[in-house]
Amino acid sequence: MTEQTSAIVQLAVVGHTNAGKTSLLRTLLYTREFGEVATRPSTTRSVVAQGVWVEGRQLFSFYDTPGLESGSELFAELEQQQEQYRHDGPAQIRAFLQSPAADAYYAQEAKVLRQLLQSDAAFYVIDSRDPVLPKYQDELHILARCGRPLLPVLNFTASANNRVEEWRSALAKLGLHVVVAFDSVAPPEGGERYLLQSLATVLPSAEREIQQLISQREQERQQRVAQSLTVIAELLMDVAAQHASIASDASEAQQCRAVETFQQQIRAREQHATHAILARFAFLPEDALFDHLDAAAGRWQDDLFDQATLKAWGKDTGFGVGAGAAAGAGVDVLVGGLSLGLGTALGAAAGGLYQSWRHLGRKLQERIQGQRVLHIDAVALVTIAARQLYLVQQLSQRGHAATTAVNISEQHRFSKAQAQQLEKHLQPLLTRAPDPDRNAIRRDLEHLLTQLLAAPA
Amino acid sequence: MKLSHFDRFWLAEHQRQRDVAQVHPTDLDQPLNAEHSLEQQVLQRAERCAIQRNELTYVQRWHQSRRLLTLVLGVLASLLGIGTTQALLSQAQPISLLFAVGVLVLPNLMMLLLWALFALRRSKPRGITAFGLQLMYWLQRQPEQAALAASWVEHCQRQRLLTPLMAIVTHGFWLVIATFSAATLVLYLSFNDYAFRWATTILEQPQLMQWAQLIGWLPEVLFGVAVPEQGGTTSTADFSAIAGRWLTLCVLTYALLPRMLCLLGAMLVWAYRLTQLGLDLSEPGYYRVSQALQAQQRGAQVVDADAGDAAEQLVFHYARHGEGELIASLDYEADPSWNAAVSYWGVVASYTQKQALLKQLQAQPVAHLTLRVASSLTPDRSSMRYLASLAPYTQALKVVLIDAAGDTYRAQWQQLLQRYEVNYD
Repeated sequence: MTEQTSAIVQLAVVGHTNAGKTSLLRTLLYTREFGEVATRPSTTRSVVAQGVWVEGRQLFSFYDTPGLESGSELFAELEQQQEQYRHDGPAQIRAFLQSPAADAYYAQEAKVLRQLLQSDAAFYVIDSRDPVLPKYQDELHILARCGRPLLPVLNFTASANNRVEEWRSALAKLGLHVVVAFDSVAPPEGGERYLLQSLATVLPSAEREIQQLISQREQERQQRVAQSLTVIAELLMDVAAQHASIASDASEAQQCRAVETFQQQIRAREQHATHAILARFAFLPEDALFDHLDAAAGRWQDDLFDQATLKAWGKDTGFGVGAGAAAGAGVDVLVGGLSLGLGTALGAAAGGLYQSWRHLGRKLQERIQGQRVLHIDAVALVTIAARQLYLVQQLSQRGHAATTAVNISEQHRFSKAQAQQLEKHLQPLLTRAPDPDRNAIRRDLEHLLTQLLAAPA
Repeated sequence: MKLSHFDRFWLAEHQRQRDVAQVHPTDLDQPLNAEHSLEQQVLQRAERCAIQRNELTYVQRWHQSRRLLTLVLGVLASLLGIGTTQALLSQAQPISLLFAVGVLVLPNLMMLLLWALFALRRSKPRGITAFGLQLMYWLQRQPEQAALAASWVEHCQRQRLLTPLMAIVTHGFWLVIATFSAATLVLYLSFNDYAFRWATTILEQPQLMQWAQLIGWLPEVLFGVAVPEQGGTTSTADFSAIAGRWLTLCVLTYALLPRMLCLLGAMLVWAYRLTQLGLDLSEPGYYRVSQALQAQQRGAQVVDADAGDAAEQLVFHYARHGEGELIASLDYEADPSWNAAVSYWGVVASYTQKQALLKQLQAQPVAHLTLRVASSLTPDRSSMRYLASLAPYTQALKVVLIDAAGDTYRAQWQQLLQRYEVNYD
């Protein structure tokens, strides 16, 4: 590390305009809100710093820089002074930064070079879809004269028309043999670790800090997934425990209203969980769309309780849409408390617990009054679990540079056995068993969801 | 009102529950001390929010109710202790020793056993704690108070304080009973004349004595007091005196001491866990707040600001005269199948090539200059400047945007070309 920055590792991100510098930083910093990402050139026009803290201590400062746009002209000018600064590139760059051109014609390039001189190393971001052009090579020559370690990062490698090998070969000719292919929109598995390890190779003085960051990122990754599974488990428990009573003599209109209200509550709860998961992964609420193409209507819709949605997601579960749906899609209705675990209530009441007696009293009251009770059906439950799990899976692999939403329209279904396992864990809540052990249910669900995430249907 | 360590974490939990229910956490615009840890800031914010909502009054009332309830339970326990001993000593004399031990010790021991079996591992309020909490809820009937009461339970559960708390309440209650029971016994036995005997209806005398030996083992170990034996050289008065002392020590051994030890243990656990109070900032509610605070305090900073937009200053002046046509590809030719026309200059990619073309045009302006541009390449300031530098040496400049597979910057090129009124295809 340079003398003036012994405490914090300073890393600049440089490259041609629109190469994806800000996108890379968004993914590395794990935030969707850093800078502005757009396809227009010169989106970033200032040097912007963002710190990275590990265990409460700032270890890194990343600098997003404007894109280089006049590399060839600048290189031609610098070439004219080559003789004077043949063996001292940084002195040549410093001299250039003192010149009037640095404040006018090359103001943008000057910002990049000034920052690079103050940094310990830099990521040179390359749009790997572009051919190797002389203007890019000129840029690299200029950057190299700053005397700072450069780590070329090949961006947009997920694109079919990438020119990764062409670039590797060209970079090798410039003496840059450590090159990382890292798509900031869809980072490869373990890509971030490899990128940081490669940085440690070109900047060995910061190896300890980089290792700390790698460990923290790994820990955070595991925490994010585990916390998201807890959110899903809580969601499933809440919707399974949700019941609504309606009088047996209620009119059809009243019943419809009750079903609609019930469905609305479930929708809201699912949306709340979705936002919580997105927040865990540092994405924004608009980053996920629960779409399902309603082929009959020819339109996109996102309603959990739409027949087509339930059919698509619950296809392999063996429950069948509307199997018990006496009330409405995704909602089951039970009459008189008979099927709502009356036996369990009696058994528990015999155990003498106060809650059990109270629960038994409620059951009997419902039975005597002939009340109907609405609760979520198995297909809707499985649909919620499957699509939330799919969301977690997608977000785990998603870079924060992505500007399009995750489309939860895949038919990521559970098998019949998986669905039954899920229902079994939730049975105490579905049947309103007295005093269920929510902690134990949550633990079981988290365990099941972890298995499902590791081996999806 | 000065908040205790416990209260501050309680209010944080209360605020967390409010934040979970809200789409966006509020009250983050007011500054917090950024030098403090995130946890401290979350606690500060919770306290500030509670003050704004006037919730400290409810916290105060909660503590008043808690103290009142403790007093009521204490009085109830002392009455139970006194009453039990009085009921025992009012029995027809001589009083059965085994019965006396059973009445004064057995309920306490039974409840201790039940507590160890059922309540120790429960994460929900049980027994006397549940009863006390119901009373507290009843006393805190306002919605705000009820919400705070719910947060209090949640806070105790999350911080693993509920188990030691329930233990303190339970053992404290039974300790008061046992203390008053023993004190009443000592008082009555000290100043009144009571007669005791070993009595049984269905047991054999040896069996009875076996029970007596069994019960007397621990007091003998602890206090060196042997089980009183009736008959022989011991007079009835002496036996009653020895039996009275033995009975008192049995109450001390089996009722007072176990409860005292349990209470002490529970208080130690409680005190230890109080020192270990912490916030899991990954919990829903806390997570969003801590993220928002981090974004505020550790957000991005502009270190070298933009001074202006140089690209907007470009001017395209065109030549009045020119002859012929010239076609060139800027940076690279994106269409490998394109049949180069006779007037094709080639690819203008390097600085030298660009200067060469410029020099040629300066010497011999053309009527029509066509530049083929790959729309897969992003437009940049340098390209636009080069187009502007070529313009004075042609009567008509035209850009042909060549599309290739994949994403293109066609729209961005078109936008820039339109801005400078350059023809394009």
